[in-house]
Amino acid sequence: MKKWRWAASLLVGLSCLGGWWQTAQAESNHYSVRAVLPSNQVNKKLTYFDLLVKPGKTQTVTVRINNKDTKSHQYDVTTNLASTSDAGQLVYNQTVKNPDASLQFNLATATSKVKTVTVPAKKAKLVNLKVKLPEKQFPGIALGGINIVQHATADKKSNKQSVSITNQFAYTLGIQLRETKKLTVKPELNLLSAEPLQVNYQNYVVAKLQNSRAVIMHDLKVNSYVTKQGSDKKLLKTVKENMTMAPNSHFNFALGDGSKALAVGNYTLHLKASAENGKYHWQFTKKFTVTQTKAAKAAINETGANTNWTLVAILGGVIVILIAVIVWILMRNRRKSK
Amino acid sequence: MKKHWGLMTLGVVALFAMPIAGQAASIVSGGNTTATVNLEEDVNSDIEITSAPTIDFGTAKITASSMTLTANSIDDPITVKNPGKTSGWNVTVNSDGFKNGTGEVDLGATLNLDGGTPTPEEASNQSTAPTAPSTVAVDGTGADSNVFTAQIGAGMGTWTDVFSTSDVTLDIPAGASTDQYTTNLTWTLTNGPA
Repeated sequence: MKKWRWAASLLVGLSCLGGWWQTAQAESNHYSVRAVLPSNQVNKKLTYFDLLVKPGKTQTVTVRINNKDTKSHQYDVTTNLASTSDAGQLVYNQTVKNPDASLQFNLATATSKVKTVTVPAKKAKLVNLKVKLPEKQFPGIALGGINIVQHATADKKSNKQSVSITNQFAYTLGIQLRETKKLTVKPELNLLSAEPLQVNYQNYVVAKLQNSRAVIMHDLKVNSYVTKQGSDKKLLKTVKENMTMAPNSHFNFALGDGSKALAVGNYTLHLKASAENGKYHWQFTKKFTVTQTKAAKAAINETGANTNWTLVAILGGVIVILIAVIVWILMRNRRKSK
Repeated sequence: MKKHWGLMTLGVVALFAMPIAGQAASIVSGGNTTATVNLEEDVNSDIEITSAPTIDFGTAKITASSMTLTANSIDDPITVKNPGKTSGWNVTVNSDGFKNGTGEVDLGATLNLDGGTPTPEEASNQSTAPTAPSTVAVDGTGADSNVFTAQIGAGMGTWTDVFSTSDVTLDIPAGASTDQYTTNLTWTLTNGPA
């Protein structure tokens, strides 16, 4: 009885200690950033840059990094072009290696390069970036993001976890430049190509969709399917809503759930789209071919070529030996008891 | 006998005291109390992300067959503090891959952060709630996924996106080698045209 009480009180105490440790280890962030808005900011209520600029001029943009931690930190400041993710989302924090062919002014390459900034403990620092504007006027908007990432502090925890995860915090401040106060550019959707593709070990048919104009495309809705050429049977039917496309960008719209690869043959992609709450409509069809190599490649991964046959053989061997040993022991025991 | 009851009482007291200690700490770290009501925009404060979940998948051994790990523990929600800015905000997350110790092998895993529940820090928060998608899949390609979004005019004050352990899973495709893997999740708070 006494022992039980001891154990109980110890358990309560220990569990409290456990809870306390978790609180102490909680991953929290100790810095913030701000867009310091200049006089040519169109709307002063915004928390990102929306600047009216002039051709040929150099625009300075200022970012304030506020380090509230008790130790000094380093921050990387980079500028990226706005792009569209394959999920149909506006992305501000990825490097765009191959900008869309329709892009006239690349904001990322026109802005001063990566800066590493050290901000002392409990201090704020202003970081100036310079954007060189082209001599020729650009249409619509130039859109990008200024990405601020705090260097990870190396605290390699010794652990026995099979998958361990560390967190890092970043901020992105949008930067939108325009040369006319009123924007009249309308979005335009194009279907650039259709082909079978493997993404993250899964098979899809992808439609490469492009917004060829210098304006954000909101509320993009896509309704699409594939048919075998000469057939009406709808394969890989996919509908997706609420997508947003960056100005002058493209992305791979995936059809199907990845579970089934198309057999070798000729197909047609049918795609209907609308944007800005149905204000704009588009309709496309595109023929494409699944060839032997493409189909084979997709099929190999589908049937799990990753099966480790050596392991299967070893495991099989071990099981056979185990069964033999058990049978032998049983036989021996039976003989003994006789 | 009496001594043991005393120990138990101490344990129970500790149980109640600890969360209070934890809260006090988070107020200090945020440098921002919500005690004052200030209707003017505070020009000296920013929209901040102050915490993100630390996810622990435990010590289950990774084998060559496909498997799904469920989170053992999650210690924090995603927390965004907005001092009253109306231009909206968005939190995305990406992973730099699930690599082994030498960095040569990638698991090809996908982290699922499903069922995120936007919750105001204060129940009386009147602003339009931010939203969280019911399913979020983060693969190791570095592509960002939206996890927590406040539209224009929404998400004022302090909001958290809370996850329960059963909704956070890691899908591992077949063919993995038994090893320990690490990933770095980057949680990005974006202020930009939506």
